Amino acid sequence: MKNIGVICAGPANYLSICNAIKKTGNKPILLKNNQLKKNISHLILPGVGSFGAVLREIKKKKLLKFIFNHIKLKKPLLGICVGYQILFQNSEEDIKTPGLNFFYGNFQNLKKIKKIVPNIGWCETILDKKIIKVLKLPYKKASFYYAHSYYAKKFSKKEIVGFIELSRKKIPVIAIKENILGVQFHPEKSGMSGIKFLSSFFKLK
Amino acid sequence: MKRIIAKLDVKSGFVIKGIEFEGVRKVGDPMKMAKKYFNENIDEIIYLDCVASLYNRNHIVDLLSKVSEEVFIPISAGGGIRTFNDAKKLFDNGADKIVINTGAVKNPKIVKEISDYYGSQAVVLQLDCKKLDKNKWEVYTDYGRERTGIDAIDWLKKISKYGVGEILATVIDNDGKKDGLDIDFFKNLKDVTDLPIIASGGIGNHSHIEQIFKIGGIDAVSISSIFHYNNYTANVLKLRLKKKGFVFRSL
Repeated sequence: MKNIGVICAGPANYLSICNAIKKTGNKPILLKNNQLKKNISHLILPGVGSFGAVLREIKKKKLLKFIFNHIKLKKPLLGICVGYQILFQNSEEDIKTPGLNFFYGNFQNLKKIKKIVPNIGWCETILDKKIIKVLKLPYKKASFYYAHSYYAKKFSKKEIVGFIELSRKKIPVIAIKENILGVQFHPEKSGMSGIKFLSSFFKLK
Repeated sequence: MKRIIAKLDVKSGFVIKGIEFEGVRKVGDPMKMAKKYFNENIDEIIYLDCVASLYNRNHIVDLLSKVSEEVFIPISAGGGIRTFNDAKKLFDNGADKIVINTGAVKNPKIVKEISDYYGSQAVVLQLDCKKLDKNKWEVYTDYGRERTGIDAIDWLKKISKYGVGEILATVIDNDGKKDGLDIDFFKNLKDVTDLPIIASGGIGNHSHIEQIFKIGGIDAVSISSIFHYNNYTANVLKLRLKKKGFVFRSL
């Protein structure tokens, strides 16, 4: 059983995330402030709410250092939904607040390419060989649950390892660089495919 | 991808179901039914505390936290949300989205307050209405008990500006009868909004779902009776609809 840290930055469905972590046989630990917690093997950066609000909350609670330190120790981090978006450079949702800049790219409103927004529901997600290999996933594609209004317009092909298709456009939804992973979908809400994804992530060393 | 959602109306600890929201009968245990539907591959669950508005309370908080331990798909919850804190309580206990009707009609600003904090994707507007005339439907609140005099289409246009992420729309006249949805209503609705619509009220078989998906622009349905009375499972409905070319999540 591993200790999985969950960054509490603004509104998110923490109970769902914690229950999903328990389902994988691991122990969730909520991180509400910068008090040092030992023995956290994996970090989850959830996020419901807006790009700027989540980033401001992380800074306000002085959790930024914790996140950077975790990465420096080469421990795995997973950003979910808005937690995925803030790993990039910026978003037009809040142009004044820069992202964490781990991945190259910027987010813009889905309205520009899609009539019905937010994109709410299940999407077939095509996984790249790289992510299947790294996480040892048992599937090449899977249906995951999405609820978002922004997408990465610019991105680096090297960092993106998963796509969905919206309005006949390939939308990047999984990013990876060393020990940092981000997913636009909600693995904790994606049935057993999502639980499988999380448990594969928790096996990452 | 299309979505099939199970809606469980809850009253004093039981799932209930009526016809046109009246003559309700107890049909089962809300926890057991959600687990069963999850195992049969439903795409989402909606819980509505249907007397909460009447008594200013909400009884599904305890239920939610238990369900979220075992059901790993989106769970929406509503009934009796009057304040930001009512919504917060549901989110804190495992709701991924909240569903609001009466509270929004009484004070539309509450919708903005909730969506500013949780994001509009977490706010579902419940639109219960009855047909008045050709192309005219009136909004009802308090689980179909109260008329509002508000035109459904006008209301949707207005409330969308306050930050709604989805519309759960039910035509009360059709509800519980298993005779099919009020297709005209949904055609009107989809022409005035770009928000995702969940069509509800009257689904009795897979052809009724096919009918609504075929008009285009509506990708989700909410079902109660035919699941509660064991006429169909989500798996069976999806199997039949897949043969018609509709796509659902893979497992």
